[in-house]
Amino acid sequence: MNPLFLNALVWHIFLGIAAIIIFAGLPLLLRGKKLNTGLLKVYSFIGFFGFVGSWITGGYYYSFYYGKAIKGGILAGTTPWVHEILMESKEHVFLFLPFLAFVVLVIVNFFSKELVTNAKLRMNLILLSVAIVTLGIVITLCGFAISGSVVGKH
Amino acid sequence: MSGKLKLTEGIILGSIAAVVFVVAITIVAELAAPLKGWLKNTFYHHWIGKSLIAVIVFAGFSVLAFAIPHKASLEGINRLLLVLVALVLLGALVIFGFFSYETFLK
Amino acid sequence: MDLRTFITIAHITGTVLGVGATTFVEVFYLRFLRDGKIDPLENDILKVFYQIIRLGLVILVFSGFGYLVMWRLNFLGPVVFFSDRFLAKITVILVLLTVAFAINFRLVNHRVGSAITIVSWYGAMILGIWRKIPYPYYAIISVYAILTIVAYFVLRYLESRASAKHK
Repeated sequence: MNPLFLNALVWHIFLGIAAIIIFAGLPLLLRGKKLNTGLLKVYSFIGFFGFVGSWITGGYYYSFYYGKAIKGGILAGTTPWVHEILMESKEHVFLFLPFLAFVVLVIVNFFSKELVTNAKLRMNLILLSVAIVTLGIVITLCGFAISGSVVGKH
Repeated sequence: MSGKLKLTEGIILGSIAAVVFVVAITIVAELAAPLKGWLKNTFYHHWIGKSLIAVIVFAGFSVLAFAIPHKASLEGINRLLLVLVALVLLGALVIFGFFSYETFLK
Repeated sequence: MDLRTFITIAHITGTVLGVGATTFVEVFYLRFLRDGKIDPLENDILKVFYQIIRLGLVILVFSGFGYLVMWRLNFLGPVVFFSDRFLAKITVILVLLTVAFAINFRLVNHRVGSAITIVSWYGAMILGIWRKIPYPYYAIISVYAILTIVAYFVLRYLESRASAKHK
């Protein structure tokens, strides 16, 4: 693996995890009696750009390296379903996340005052963040299984 | 304020459209080889094609929903957010279910 | 300092913060209960510990992924990724994250949350240190579940003892 693909893989993981942690923290900020809207905005920016960064770097690694160097080995190994189910699902479900993160970013930045007064909006934003974190964790677990199925040097 | 409300409703509708598109193209491209082939030939990799078209679908629906005259409200945004969350979870289940079916049951 | 050493230091720091703060939050909670109530100052002290626990969890998760990246780049494969110890540790961390969220939104009562949190933190630490643990996944998780139930009853006993001193 050349340094470009190595960096793409590492940044894909790092940015994705950072975004998931940020979106796990967002409901905690929204839950309090006094909303820290400034911090909410910072979180929503980091979360969105984390997923976009993870999308680009992961996409580059997946499209230009994984198919040629990794996929065949997993399919020929003892757990081909790791690619057939987990990788195939992961790569497509991931596409939801940047859009969802963008919705959070827009609402937090456009309606920071309304978030203080409108409990329903706050609750729905918490639900959306929890959905993002849940999908993020499921995708991460798929990533564990895929990384664990890679054998031999490429 | 009404501009922000309309734009936000548009963006949520655009996201709903993108989610539905991703689920649909994922399944259809697996079942119809020519479509997957076209995505691959046009965009180098089928996944890049799906990603780019999803962004176009999102932007198109967002602009369309913003441009069509209607009365936007926070209530409307709350309703759309619930629809988005439900569709996202359902969409993820459909994708995992589809690939599980293709692998183990077909 | 090489990357592996840095990740190890971070992982141990996260664990120390998590295990330490979880232990002290229980000790102080029981201590504060002696007068039958948690007053605002005591609540503020407990909040500091909860923040340290969250910080520990974030450091633990990030450094944990550091390990995973190194394993992936060194092609350690199924032997490490699908080992009973690693799968058990992932399970424990996922339970810990879920319960941390549930506690923050008051979806579980304090005693249940505390029992799961304290056993999970010690469980994660033990699984991290005991690298050649000879037991299968199901045995490890069964022991974890049993210890959580035991911890619940121990906490219940200690809380009732602390409250009795007030009465």
